[in-house]
Amino acid sequence: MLSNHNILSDKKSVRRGQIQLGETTAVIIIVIILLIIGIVFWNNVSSSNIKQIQTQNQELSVIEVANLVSELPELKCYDSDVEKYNCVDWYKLMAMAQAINNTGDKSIFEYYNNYFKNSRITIVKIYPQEGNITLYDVKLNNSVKKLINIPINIRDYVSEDGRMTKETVYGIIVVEGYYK
Amino acid sequence: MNRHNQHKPGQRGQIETFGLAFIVVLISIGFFIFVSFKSQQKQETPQKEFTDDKLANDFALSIVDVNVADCPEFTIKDLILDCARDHRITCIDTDSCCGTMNSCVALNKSIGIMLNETFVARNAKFRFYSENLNYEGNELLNFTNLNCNATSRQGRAGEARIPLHPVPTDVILTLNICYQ
Repeated sequence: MLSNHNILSDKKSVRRGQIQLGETTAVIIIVIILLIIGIVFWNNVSSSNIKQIQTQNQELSVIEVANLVSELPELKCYDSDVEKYNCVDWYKLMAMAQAINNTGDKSIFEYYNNYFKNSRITIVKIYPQEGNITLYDVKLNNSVKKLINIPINIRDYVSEDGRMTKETVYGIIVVEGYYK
Repeated sequence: MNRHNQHKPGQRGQIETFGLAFIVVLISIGFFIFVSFKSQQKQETPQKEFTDDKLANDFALSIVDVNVADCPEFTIKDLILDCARDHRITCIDTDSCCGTMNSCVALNKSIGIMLNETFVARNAKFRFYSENLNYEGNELLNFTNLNCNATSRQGRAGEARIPLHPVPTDVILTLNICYQ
């Protein structure tokens, strides 16, 4: 009887041990599954965060170019040597556009490429005159564009009775950034 | 009785293990829901923030010095002063042969053109209005687009002040860009 009792208690111990082993294994499996799900989910979140950061950096780059163009000393208007706020001179624009887009000499384009980078800059006259001029264009195709418009005053000159008079035109600077 | 006591710690252990696993699963689900909710929140991009800010601010300041098509020798600022104070300027209506209009009408027309070309053409929600610039008993300038009004969620605002010296008042031009 004593040996039967020992055999029974041994069997019970083995069974108890098996159950405990099963429990531990189940817990480990569940934890591993949760970890895998967490890693996959975190990976997806991180990659969307990276894309968001990339988009923000692209936009900040376009903003930087837009701020730069409106403050270029080469284009600013002056009244008796006093700089006018938020104003560009149309004739200076034409001269600069001609210099940058000169196909014979790329050195000026390359100089401004350091500042304007992957962008296209157009100045548009809206009122009372209309017209536009492309100041700089890197000409990249098949790219996503980020666009910014900045209102600006454009100093133009009109001929009246044989003399040139200044006219202030309302316009916008359009900066488009090319990105893949 | 011994058998009952021997079962109790085992059962308790199982319950504790399952309880722990349940808490872990609850915390994980809560974390996933939180991260999903956070990633779905729309954040204002730098480009949109900058564009709205610069557009609102620079538009109000830029239009003030612009020459008017119907009165080429005068600027918007001159017409504002005349409409608010002097009432001496008469402009030629360029849209109709031989027609004339007073400074207030010319002002309303010119600003309307600039707003159309800058904001309406780009489907922007805005509200542009004047203060202390009365014409025929009402405020002269009151333009809105896409139901942007005083009760809408207002975004960036730009303002231009024109003093009516020696009259101790300022005419205020305000542009509000509403959230989409």
